[in-house]
Amino acid sequence: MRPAVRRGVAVSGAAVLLAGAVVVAREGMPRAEVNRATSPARTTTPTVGSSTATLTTPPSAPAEPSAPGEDAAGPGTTEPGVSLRVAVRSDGSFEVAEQAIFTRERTTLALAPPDVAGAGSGLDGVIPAVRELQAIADGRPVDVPARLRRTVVVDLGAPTRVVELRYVLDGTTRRSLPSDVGRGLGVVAPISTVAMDADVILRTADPAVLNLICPRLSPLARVCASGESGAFELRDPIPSGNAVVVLQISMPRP
Amino acid sequence: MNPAQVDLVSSLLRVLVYAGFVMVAGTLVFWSLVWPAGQADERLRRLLGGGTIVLALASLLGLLLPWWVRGGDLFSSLGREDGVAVLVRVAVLVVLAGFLADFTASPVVRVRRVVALAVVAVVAVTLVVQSNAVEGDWQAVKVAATIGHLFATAGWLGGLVALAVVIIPQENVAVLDEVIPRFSTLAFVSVVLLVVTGTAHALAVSDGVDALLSSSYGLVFMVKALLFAVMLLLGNHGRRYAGEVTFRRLNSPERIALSPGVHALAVVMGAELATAFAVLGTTAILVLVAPPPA
Repeated sequence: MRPAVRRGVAVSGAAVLLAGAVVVAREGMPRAEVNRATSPARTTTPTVGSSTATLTTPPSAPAEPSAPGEDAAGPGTTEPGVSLRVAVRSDGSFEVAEQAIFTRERTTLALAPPDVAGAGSGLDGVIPAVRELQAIADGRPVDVPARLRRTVVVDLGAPTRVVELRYVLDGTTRRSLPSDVGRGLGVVAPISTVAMDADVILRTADPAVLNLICPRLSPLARVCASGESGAFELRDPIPSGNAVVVLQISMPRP
Repeated sequence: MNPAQVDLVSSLLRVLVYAGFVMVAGTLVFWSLVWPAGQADERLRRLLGGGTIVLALASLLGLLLPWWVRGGDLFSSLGREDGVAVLVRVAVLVVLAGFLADFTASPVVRVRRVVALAVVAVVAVTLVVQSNAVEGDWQAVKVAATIGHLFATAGWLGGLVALAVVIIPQENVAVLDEVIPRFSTLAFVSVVLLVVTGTAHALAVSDGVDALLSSSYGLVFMVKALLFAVMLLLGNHGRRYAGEVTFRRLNSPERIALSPGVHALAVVMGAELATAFAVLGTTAILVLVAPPPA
């Protein structure tokens, strides 16, 4: 290639690339929003800061977590692991149904307030409070403290394969400012995996949940939601050590 | 493509970006600060040209990977900061490739030296914009540390590549004896800079010593530090060679062409270079396991 042509091509190519950079600077999404955006459901799912119909949509009543037995196949429902079903209450706390299926029968289970360290998004300072805790082991009611303030070892009474927990998770939500009214972020993590390695899945049928982010996963895997508003779940089960899920929520009107 | 495969491809592309940066920025720094007349060496020019292609392609593929994996609208998938950084970087590389013959027409001194270091600075800044240095707390510290780290990497690894891949195999002892003492000084400064900036960045990212020591990020950082220590031990051989050259020059200039340790130096530098690429690999893993910004 002749030198003049080579220089011309280089300058033209660079000009096109720089013009592209200007377009991306105007049209591209800030990195923080890209990281929070859903992938397959992007076209139907609002993102933080976007102008959505949240204000005009009638607020939904807090959706009750469905019975764990109704869940789809996976960890904590049909195979060993932990399944979390989550719904948002009007005060911003979460109603959680957590079911653990053990690989082998056990007679005790350690429970601890959820470890949400590394949640990011301004949620690192939250102090989770578990209240109204109920437990059933293989269909038998189990005596557990109503409030979970520290790690406790629960006597399951007999060799047990499946434990169902129901509780309210409080103190893990922060309102997003500035943002739409009621928009916020909350973080959820299991309470039954403090002394147990297991795959964890999270599902929600609550339309108040707008997106799921897994902050302890690698950057490309952090966008971990599958489905659409009203039927979100984690795209893949995640190991209990990384099982911290940030929920982008629109808090139901009281 | 499942998440593990995405992480693997993403990490490989990141290693290629780092390798391309070392080839491009390293060669330019080497010409600017160690061997200005080295621009006439055809193999060094090819090294720069190859690095330009590797860096540009890996940068573009890395930018498009999330869009390819997640689908949807391209602009919605492109992070604004990442997109601008990569396009500016590739634009600079395209200009560099187009004017490479003109740039290397004479030794890299005066204006050429300024241009070469400016290119390195722009490419380094685009890499910083893509890094986690611009997220979370301690941004000023992390940005300064990352830029310093990139320049030090270019100075040290770039020089190593130039020496081990191009100059030593030619067994041009006169050039080697001229270049090694200068490179030794640059390498020393770079190593000090790498230790200081690497430690500062790791502490800022992990938010303290305790968090660093108790995290997977800290574990990978320790592995990188260990590999770095191995490189230092190997690099010490090059430093001793530089000392011998200086001694010979002062005491018996007529024997300068003998340079008996050049073959041992070649072996050691080859090992040092292999370790360096292991360090680049651990750096890519560090990005993968870095804690999210607060």
